[in-house]
Amino acid sequence: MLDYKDYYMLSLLSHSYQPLSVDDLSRMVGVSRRSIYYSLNKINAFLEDHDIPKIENHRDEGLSLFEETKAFFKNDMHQDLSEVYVYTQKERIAIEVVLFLINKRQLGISDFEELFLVSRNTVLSDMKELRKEILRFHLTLEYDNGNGYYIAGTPIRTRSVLLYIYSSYTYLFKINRFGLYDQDVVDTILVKFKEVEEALGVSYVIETKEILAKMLATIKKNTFDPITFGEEDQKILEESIEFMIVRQFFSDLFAVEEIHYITLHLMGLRVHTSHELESQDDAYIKKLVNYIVKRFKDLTLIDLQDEQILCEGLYFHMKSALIRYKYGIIYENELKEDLKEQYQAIFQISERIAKEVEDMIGHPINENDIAYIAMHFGAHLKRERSELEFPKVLLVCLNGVATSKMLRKELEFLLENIEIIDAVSLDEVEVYADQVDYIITTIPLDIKEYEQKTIFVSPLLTSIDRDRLYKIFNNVHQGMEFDDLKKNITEKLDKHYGREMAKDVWKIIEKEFQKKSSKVQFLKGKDQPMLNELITEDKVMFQKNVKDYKEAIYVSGKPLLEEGIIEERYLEKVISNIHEMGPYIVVAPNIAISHARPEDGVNKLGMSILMLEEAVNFSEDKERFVKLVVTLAAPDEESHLKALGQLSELFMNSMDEIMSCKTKEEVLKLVNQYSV
Amino acid sequence: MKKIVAICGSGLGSSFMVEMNIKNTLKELGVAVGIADLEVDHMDLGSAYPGVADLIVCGKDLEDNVERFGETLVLNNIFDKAELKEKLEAVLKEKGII
Repeated sequence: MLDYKDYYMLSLLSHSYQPLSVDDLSRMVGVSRRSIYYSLNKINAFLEDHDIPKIENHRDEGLSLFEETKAFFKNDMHQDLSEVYVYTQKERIAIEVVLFLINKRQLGISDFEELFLVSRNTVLSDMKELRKEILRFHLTLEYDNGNGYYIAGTPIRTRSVLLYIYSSYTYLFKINRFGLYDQDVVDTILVKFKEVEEALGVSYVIETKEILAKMLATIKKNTFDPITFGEEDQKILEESIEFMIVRQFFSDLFAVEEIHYITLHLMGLRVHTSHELESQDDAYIKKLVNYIVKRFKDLTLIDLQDEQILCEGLYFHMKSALIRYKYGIIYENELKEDLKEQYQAIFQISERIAKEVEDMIGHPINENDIAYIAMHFGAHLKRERSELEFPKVLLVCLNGVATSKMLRKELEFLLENIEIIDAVSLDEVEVYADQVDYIITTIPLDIKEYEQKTIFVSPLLTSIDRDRLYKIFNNVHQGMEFDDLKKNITEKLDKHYGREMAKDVWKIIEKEFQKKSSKVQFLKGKDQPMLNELITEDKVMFQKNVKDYKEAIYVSGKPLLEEGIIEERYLEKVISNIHEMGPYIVVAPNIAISHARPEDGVNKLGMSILMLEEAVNFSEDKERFVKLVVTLAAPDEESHLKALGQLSELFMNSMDEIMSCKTKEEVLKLVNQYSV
Repeated sequence: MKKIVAICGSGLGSSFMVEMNIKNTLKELGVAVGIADLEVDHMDLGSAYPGVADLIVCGKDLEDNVERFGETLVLNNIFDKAELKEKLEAVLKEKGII
């Protein structure tokens, strides 16, 4: 089924006279490049089903549609997205919130029934969910008898929910379908931002500018209530250099309250911290940071070293983040998509922690910020396992504190193989400069002596900066791939000492290597052994019968016990679990997977199989006969997943075959067949 | 409906398999899976609590333990895709999702 993004992409392509690149589309649709490729595959599958020429992807030029394909969509799909597309509930709610916020007139159920062409019950269910969603922003949905619904809350919260929606559902509001703002006002604001950028000598992220411009145009068109700032904050805003410039360019469009508001956003973008603005007190922030780190340790069971460094980084992040949450300042993290992909596990854990933190602070935390928290952890873990000598880098920024602390995290994430020795302000540069290989600075550094090793970047790394840094540092240290290394060493050993010796030596190396990297294996999800790596010949047993299920559990677990993979108490625990919870390990007729929790006595990952000729009952009062007992020993929550998935495939598709196996060879053959 | 959870005694073995099967089945039924749409997860009996999900899927021997946490879908054979598909389809239809 094609979704909104797919249709949107199609409509862009069919209205374009030239090919569009994936980058163009990614920007226009407001989703990542990866999503575009994903959509592309979906659309092409759809086209293929309908026997229509697929979207063409020309190298160097981009994507384009055949005339026939364009015609197909024109005729059959009326061009207008809104007529063919069915919104998801999340999307409907986003649109509903925005409509509530901008409408002078209160809206009723029937308004939405008409708009989305859905039933009354659907709208009622939307309202229920919407109520929950906006509660996160401390907003409430009120009902005025006879007039309909409206959203109530303070101007700060109202604006932050709108910004949140604009930045989370960019693609829904690319076309100004609901008349939320005047497009020419948006354009004017964008021009003004450009002037502000020139006057300040900075450049903001395009997406952020666009969202902000839409937001401001929406505020203007619908005369939102202004935010009143505290005296202290107002003073700081007015003293900032942004205020002057913003006032100069925006006074003709906005009243002074909005000038303050725009200033606030730009200050939020200027440095990663707006440290002059009033945040929470230190003790509170530290408490939050400690909580975050503790939860991370709880959830990952990783024993963090140099926790202090991590806490410090998070402290600066949270300090500025709390200000952003307070005012709903948007803040794009360009690495978000990469992070989500490379560090799925860390990202998910961070997401989970963020949800808990949300409840504590009373503000929602969006994905960009979750990505930053994940980045702090990711970078820290990376540092821990690095023992090699890396080029030393000194960071320089205006005041040596906030910007470079954030920049530091970003660099550590981006470049694995550098060692950042310190972050300093301009006048401290010379103290360190001689000890380092590179100086990365956010302010122009005019010291001839160090010209060679100075790299100038913007405080918010642009994609150009990142490319440049990547090139510089990855050329310096070209590591050898593990597999190449293996090949080279094996070949040499083979030549001098014979094949058997080579194999043995290699085993030792591999073992040592795994010890070193075992701590982070689960993060990459790489080291999940396959089924046939666990179920080997010595792990398959045949027996005529057993006297009861307890014996079956013991016999099945015996090879694991003998190898020290599990302790005896593990099998005892399985049996006591059955006492307590019933024969739940009987997962299908004839099959039991005997297992308990990692903490019940598992030392290593392992699996073994016992096949019984005569079935044994695993229950005292019900009929739970079993002929095949797999013992599973999982040392953590993840490393067994691949093998278990394969086992499950095996049971699903080859149940009869496995049950009729008479020899180890037959079992192993099946196991191999599913280990791919 | 926002979340489906597969539950087993330890949260390591069968619940994970069921989670995979649920995801595959939903895909076959054309239901989008993900944190933003319909989330599918697995956990152990000890981590579950009332209201943990809109639908809980478990093997028949845990039914008595799981029922108190919410609406439950019970499987006789957790490897039986056809059984899962049939039962899941019925629930989704009843809830108006498909």
